[in-house]
Amino acid sequence: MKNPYIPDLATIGRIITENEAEDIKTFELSLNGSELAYTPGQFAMLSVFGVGECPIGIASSPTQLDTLQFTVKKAGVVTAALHECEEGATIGVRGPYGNGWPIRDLENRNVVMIGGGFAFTTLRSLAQYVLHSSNRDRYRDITIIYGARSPGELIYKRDLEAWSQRGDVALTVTVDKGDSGWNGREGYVPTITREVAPSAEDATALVCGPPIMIKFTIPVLRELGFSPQDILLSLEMRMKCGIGKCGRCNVGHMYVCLDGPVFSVAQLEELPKEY
Amino acid sequence: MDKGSISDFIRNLQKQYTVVAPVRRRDLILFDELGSSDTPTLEFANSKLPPKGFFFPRSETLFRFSAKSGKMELTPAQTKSKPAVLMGVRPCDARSLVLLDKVFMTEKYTDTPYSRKRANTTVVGMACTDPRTTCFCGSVGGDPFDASGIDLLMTDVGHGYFMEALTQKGEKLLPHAPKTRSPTREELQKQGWIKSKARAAVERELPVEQAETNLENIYEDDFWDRVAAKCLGCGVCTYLCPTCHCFDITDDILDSNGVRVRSWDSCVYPLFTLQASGHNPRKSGKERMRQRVMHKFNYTVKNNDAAFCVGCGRCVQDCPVNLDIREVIKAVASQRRAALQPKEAPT
Amino acid sequence: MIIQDKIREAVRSLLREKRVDLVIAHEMGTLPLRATPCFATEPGDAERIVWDPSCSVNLAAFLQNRKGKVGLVAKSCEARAALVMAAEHQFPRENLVILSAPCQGVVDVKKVQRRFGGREILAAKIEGDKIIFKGKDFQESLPLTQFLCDSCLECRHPNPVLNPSRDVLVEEGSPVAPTQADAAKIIELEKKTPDERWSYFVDQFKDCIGCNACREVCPICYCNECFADQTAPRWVGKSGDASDVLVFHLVRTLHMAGRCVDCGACSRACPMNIDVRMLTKKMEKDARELFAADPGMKEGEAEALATFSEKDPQEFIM
Repeated sequence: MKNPYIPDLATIGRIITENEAEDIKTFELSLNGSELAYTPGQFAMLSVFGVGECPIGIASSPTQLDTLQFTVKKAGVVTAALHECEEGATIGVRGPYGNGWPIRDLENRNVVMIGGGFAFTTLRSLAQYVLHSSNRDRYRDITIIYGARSPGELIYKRDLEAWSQRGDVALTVTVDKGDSGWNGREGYVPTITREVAPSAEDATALVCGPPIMIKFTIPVLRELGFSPQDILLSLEMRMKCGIGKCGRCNVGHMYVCLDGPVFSVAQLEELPKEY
Repeated sequence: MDKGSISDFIRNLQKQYTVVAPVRRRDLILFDELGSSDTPTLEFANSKLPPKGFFFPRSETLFRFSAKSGKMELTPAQTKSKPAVLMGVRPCDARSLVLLDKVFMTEKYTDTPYSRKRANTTVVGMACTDPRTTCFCGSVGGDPFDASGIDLLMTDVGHGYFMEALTQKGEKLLPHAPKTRSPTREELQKQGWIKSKARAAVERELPVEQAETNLENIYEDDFWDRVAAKCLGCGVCTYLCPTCHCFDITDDILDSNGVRVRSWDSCVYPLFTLQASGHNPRKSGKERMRQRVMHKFNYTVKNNDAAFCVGCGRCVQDCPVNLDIREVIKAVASQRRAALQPKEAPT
Repeated sequence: MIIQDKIREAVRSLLREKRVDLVIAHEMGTLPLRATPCFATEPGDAERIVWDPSCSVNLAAFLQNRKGKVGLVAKSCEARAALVMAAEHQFPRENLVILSAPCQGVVDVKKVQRRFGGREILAAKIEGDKIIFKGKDFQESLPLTQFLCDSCLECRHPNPVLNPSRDVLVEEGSPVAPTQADAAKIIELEKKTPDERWSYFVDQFKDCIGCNACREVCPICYCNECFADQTAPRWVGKSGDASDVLVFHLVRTLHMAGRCVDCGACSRACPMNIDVRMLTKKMEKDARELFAADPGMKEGEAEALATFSEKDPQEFIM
């Protein structure tokens, strides 16, 4: 039986700098001889050998057969080391871990994706997935609301552009504060969500963003009629093993790496508020 | 088997197995590999460190990596191929292994560094004939003569040992025990008498189940300030605990070679849950103490149908500030939310 | 007994007059010869306070990150540690009332365990200069001095030096005789060559499990992020390699130079019976001999290793 702590090796291909501050980069990886069969919302433990491992949400969609992407924000020791890596470097990948977004339960429902800043990464994976031609007709209305602090901080600009050209997804992009070149919407994500007012009927809302954004978006969704079972969040915790054994990432009796990272607000209301 | 035959028993075992048993070192009882002329200490209360360290060592290499001429190579660490006998394990500690199995060997993920050693090891238990006053296995589903996790159970009846094979693995060891014979009627009576005396001696009345229930409702209470007030976050309780299993994974390098190491960690340490953003969901001792107690007596019951405490009493003996988990259980069990009048220790 | 009553009375007054918000002291623990910290907020709580050789915790550790006015029932070593913390701005001196008395010493339960070969002690009563031990099938009366901590037997300052305008000194008239000579063990250590010392310490620390108890019970180790826990860069690895184990202990000891009050809490806390104090005691001796360091003895005095004087010895540099 394979040792679950030994990563597969992967080579870094293209590196895309996503934002103006240059602290968010998307890494395209090609696994050296192994495969990663994942669903949107899952994460993997990325290793920089000699530095350590950290959990990163998978940013590509399994429908993108020729690419495996991770978007990484430079925050701590390992992410800083990743940012120093160049094309051709070898890193490690362990995964996929976590429960992922409930793509089966979302079928035949209206899907509302609300993302803020860097945390949009696994929602982007889901968006690519549901919008893919082989999947699109299994989902009803798709609404995406995405915001960042400023136009330079918006990530996945190519995807945002592509989605805005489509007729089968309602996309709203906002920034907290625009600049001289910006003629899109301005406003915090919770405020814009209230303005867009997606219908709660047969709908599930998936919210991913900094804690403050989530804190103010959930009441807006409740006002719009979303029940706690139909609001889903993706939690982040410090992780080491990724497989529910090192005891570190629990919220109450649930491990974020194993029972999450996707939890409904209803589930979180049953758990202690320590996240 | 007569006590005099212990040495021969071990020599016989050592032909086929590595024998790990309690030895006395620096006035401590510790589990260690026996050399070809060593004898174990089999008269003791309990070891300082629990036997979990044999399957889940203090630090262990997961794999080596090296970047020779630009190519990264990973070499998994090898598990010793010679099977082992782990001898002198008290029933509380043997039961702790069964509990740790529930964490390390789940349906979805098997912790192979742990599981391979478990599969390769035969556990020889030593029944607890003289429990200490700090032992409370009887309050947490254990017993001084409990069979959980034991392949061959030895009972000290004074002049010799009863040897009971409880599993196939245990049966394989019996032929190595020299000059064994059936016990006499007097010996059986004596064993029965020792057993009932030992069973009567352990603390059975700790309100563990009531504590588990109360823990559902007191999460936000100031009660935890009082419980945590004297804890210094030193980690001794977690390291000496047979069922604590938190660990860290870190890399160590020298030039272009390195190892990835798994090592013991503790939820009472401040940096345990610190995130790169600087946010720490458990930033004070109160939250960490609460996590420890809830994990041991509530969350693990939900996840594994058992409190992760075997009542060995090591944390009671060795806490530098004498923060007694038995007192914490009693305090939790007597918490009534409505009647709570918190007397806060000002911070 | 009398000192204990006087201390309880003093605590009662302090709390009744609301001169402090909280008094940190020892109360009876759940094991023989082990007292446990207690946090008294009401005058009635003073009933629980004990002052005897079972008071083995260094309570100054509880001043870390604490707000408000605090009374500390302290042995001399705890008082000195509290004053070092105050001098290092970890706790405002004006918020601290020290209640102290000459100290007879603290029992080392490891010596008890050693003496009785691991047989369980069910009860122990300290009567004058004797301890009466009761086990399951034995009873023995033995001299108290046989079981005092080495740090107490070698204590240079058993009588607290307090500030009469701030603190409460109980039993002024009966000081305890301090030790003058250095410990034999340290003299032996100094005779070894560097290689011998290295082997000695590698062997001593072979069983170290890295639990950090020695660090956490020490009031002087109050850094919010210890060097040993830093990850960028990672100074101390976790692989259990002897060099990592020793780097932790050696560097921690160096950080204690001129600040350690030799209370012995580190050795008492070590679950693996390692005499951690061998390092700190040697450091304390060196700091005293080279720089006249005497931490916590003079209120407000700048620390020996935090001040530079042209008269400082320099033979180890040239």
